[in-house]
Amino acid sequence: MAAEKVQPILEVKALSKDFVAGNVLTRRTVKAVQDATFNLYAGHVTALVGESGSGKSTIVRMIARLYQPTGGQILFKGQDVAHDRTRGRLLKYRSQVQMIFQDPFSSLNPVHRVRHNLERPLIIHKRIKRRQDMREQVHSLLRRVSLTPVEEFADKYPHQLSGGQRQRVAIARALAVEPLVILADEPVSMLDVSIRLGILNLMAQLRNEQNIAFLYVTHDIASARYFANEILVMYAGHIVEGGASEELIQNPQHPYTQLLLSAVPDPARGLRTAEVEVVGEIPSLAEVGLGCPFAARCAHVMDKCRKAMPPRTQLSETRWTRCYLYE
Amino acid sequence: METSQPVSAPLGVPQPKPTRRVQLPDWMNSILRNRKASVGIIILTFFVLVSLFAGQLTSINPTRRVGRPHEAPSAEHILGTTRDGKDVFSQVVYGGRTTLFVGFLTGTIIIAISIVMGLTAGYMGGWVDEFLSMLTNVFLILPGIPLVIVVAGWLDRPGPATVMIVLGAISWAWGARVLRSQTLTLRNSEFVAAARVVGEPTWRIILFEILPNMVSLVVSSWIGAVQYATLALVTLEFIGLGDVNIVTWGTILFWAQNNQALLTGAWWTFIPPGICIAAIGLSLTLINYGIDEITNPRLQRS
Repeated sequence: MAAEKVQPILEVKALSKDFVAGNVLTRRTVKAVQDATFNLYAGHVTALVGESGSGKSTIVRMIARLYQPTGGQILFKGQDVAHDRTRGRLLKYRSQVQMIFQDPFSSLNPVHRVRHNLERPLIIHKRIKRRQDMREQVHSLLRRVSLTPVEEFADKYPHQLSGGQRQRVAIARALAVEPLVILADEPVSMLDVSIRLGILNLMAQLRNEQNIAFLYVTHDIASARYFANEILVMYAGHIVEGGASEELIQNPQHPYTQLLLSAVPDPARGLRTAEVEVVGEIPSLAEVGLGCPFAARCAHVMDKCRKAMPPRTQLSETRWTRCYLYE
Repeated sequence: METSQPVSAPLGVPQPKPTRRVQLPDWMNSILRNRKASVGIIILTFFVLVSLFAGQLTSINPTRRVGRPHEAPSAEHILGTTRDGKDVFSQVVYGGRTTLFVGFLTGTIIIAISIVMGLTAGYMGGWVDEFLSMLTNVFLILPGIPLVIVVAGWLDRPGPATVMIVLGAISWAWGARVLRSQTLTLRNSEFVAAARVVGEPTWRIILFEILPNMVSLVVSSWIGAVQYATLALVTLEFIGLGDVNIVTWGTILFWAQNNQALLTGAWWTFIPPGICIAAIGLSLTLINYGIDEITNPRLQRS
């Protein structure tokens, strides 16, 4: 699919987020996300891959308008929504951009039945013409996420459901408004391995049938490869490499991507150590300096790496990276 | 699921809310299974019933002179009479009605203010929280009862309504503090973020997403507030700072003290209301312990 040719549905431009931590005396700024730029396309899954604390969830929460960005733009259908504050405009945006949370055990309020979770978005966004249609709508949503018998599931409380079933409810809630974009923040990481595939397949089906644009956040590069059309690799607040998923995984360019892929257990390789040599740990985001965040651990580090973040280098039509090695 | 309903299903009612019928007995069961809570509820129910059926229990007007002064308990006056010749049993029964009513109402006012203050501060954060927390702290360090005594003395024998408002206005801080911290925890939960993404307005998030998750905390704070209010009220009336012309457990004690019942040996004028006050305090404490045990399973082991 030549998705890159079509108009993106959502564009993220130079997005950044600083968190201020500590009190008046110990105040310091944590640069959680810096200069993030990417696009989402209809019917296209973009995966955001990175370690915990790399800023993936912060990006998602900014796009979901839960966090206010420090800088940059979020263009939805060409309009900047990052600074919308009026309820009307926010509601309009939320009726088209929805989110699935990581932990289905805490993203459903324990006091509400499944039915309530699906009725609320329908009511808030006026997706229901007549009161009588509500029941049918809720049931059809449950059917779409394969929670049958629907009558029974609609009246259950979250504690009566398994993790996979809860995540299906969360997906149904996101689907209720017929969104154009779904932001999925590690939707399968809290689930048993055996039911992950079911959830991923359900999302893939929604992408194919409803042409929904997905932003799929994960630390599991294998599932990104399975599900995503495009992968963005994130390290310490920066997106360091991006490209069509199969291509990126077969031929990683950025030293961090190489490290990440070498860390994936490979049955063929057994438990032998990875061939990429790396030292050190992911830096604290409070100490991120001017240069490339990976400089301290990189085997190919050069002087200029410590002075400034490398610019974006387009490697091919579908690939880019931010590393001086390819400049 | 099409369950095979018995043929006798009346009027073809489609098995209405089968889960809801299970749900209510669920928490009631756990309360009734808890010994402390059930004892507390039995005592409280007893007093509530006595207050409700005061008119059926005694036909004597508690404010009328019906006998000689300080008559000892007899068949005619089962708890004797006061120095003014009023029937003590009737006074205790009717006095309980006023005491309980004012106590519960005051406790409810206190908890209502606590909920508004605590949830607003906890959810809004920022300068709203700064300001409300400062206010809470100020009221927290004001000594409750002494302040009420000063205010009541300044208002010169205020009636129950005034005492209720004064108590409510200065006693909400503790509950507000507790509910605020719980709100802070719940505010950062993912279901609140999910509700925001869905587009729920702030007031609905506070009232329908956060508040229902703190029901046990609200109930136990409410019971604590009722207890505090009842005892504070009795205290004020006992030392003569309430309206001494109405009959409550506090004013019965006030008049007993005033008429030197202890010296004259008229025990029946102060022991019965004293026991009633203690029993109410005990029952509310037991209910609160019970709720604590039910909602915190770690306490149930012993």
